[in-house]
Amino acid sequence: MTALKNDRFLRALAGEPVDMTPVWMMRQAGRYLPEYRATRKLAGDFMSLCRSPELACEVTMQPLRRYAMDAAILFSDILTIPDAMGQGLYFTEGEGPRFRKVVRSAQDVAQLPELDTAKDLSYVTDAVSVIRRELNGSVPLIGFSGSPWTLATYMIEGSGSKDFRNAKAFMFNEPEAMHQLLDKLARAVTNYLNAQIAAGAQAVQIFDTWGGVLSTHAYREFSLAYMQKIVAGLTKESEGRKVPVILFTKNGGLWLEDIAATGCDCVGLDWTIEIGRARALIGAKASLQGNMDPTILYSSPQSIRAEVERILKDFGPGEGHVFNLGHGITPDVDPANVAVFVESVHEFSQQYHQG
Amino acid sequence: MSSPNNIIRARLDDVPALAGAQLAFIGIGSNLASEQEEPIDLLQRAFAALASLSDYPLVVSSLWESTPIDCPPESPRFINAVAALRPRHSNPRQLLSDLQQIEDDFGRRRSAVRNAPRTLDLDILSFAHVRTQEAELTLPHPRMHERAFVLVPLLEIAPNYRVPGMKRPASALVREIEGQGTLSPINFTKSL
Repeated sequence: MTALKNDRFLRALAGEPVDMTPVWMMRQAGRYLPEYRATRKLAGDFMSLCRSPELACEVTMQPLRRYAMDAAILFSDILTIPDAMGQGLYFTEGEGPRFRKVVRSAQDVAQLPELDTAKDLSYVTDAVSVIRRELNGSVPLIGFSGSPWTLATYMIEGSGSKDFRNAKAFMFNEPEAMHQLLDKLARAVTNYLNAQIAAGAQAVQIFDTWGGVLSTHAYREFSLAYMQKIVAGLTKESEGRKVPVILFTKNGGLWLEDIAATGCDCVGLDWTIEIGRARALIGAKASLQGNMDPTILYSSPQSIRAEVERILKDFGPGEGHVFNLGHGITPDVDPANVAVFVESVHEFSQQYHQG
Repeated sequence: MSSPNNIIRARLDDVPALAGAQLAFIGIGSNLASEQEEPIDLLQRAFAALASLSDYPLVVSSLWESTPIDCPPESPRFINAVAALRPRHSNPRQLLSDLQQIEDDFGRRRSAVRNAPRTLDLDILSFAHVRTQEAELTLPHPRMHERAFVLVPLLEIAPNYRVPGMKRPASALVREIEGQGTLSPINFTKSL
């Protein structure tokens, strides 16, 4: 493998010195880019785009051609796992993901097959290999998965949800069946991420998009415990380098110490928490990723720059920060504002690093 | 993590997030190696403990080695440092009791002999602009302005520091201190 030309992202995750704070954006390969919309049209629909390694590679590379991102992230969807388990994922225009089958009983859980990534999700690992070849060592590639709890909510609800009434009712009524489901998903996610690492992913992120809708007690039992299990089961090193793990629980600001205690390398922050305070709380244990409100990208270049400056100032001098948004970039942002965002992170952060 | 990233070794001027913040300055000292570790390692652990009392990363000075003053004969040399924290609680007495808890956790033996060797000694030097005189707590620390081993590391992180209630800046006070033996910085960049 070619040596990495820019390893700022991996160094920051390890708390090692960098010349400037690395930056990437969740959902950086996305609808805000006209070239993405064109490729998606070519593919026909979203899942066909995910299932074609060449097209997935193309859209992964698109933001890197425009901006000085310090990492690439595999283009895929968190719901590939339930789809591969036979739940029948499909997308309806403007309504987000849906499943043809839902999980509503212990029997449904028992009937879910064990995931065999090599057989069922080879299109993802193929995409990882193609992207790595295309990146040619320019920046590291991030692999990812949804968290077991987050995947379970979609499998039980059959779609996105406002209040998660079915998922939560299942959790309260049949905690044992819920644990069996989460356990199955944790094994699947571990297997899936390890396959991505074997194919060339140099860091992995677990998206716990819906962990933040739980009570503290339920979060620990039904979301965090399974992410911890995954962290423990992941390949620690690949190509002679540590493969860092980022855990991102949206609305997880109350539980930062618990999240850092899982042994993950980095804790992803949404925009609701002050990053300086987060650093004081868990900076000894983990690096931090985040945490600009993505909607600031709708505002003027001056406000974007001011907000970047504020967050860098709040983190303060020293290492262990990967700049990101606090959630994925939204579809109708002006691509020119993303350039302002990325450039200002690099520009303003240099004063906080000694080199 | 290669280093504890909730501890910043820098001048406060380089930490703009703390500009105008109500800070507590803590004097840290140790001259008694416990059985397992040297004072220098112990101070690193003390930084970590102090960081837990701050709601922003702890800002620390270098470590300094000083000749003991006003101590029983043959006392070993002191290791000193100063840290600035943004207290989680606004009450200095709460901070004092938290510091005493840390000292106890570090196995300080409270001795009847004044300034007897101790594992870890933590003093509140100042707490925002608070001036108070109580049985357990006087703020600012009544002898801080006479001690080079306090002022030198303090000025390292806060060159413009003024002892609350004193007219002259700490940088002027430190020049008048005489006859306190040697004070020399310890290179500990490898560990921070």
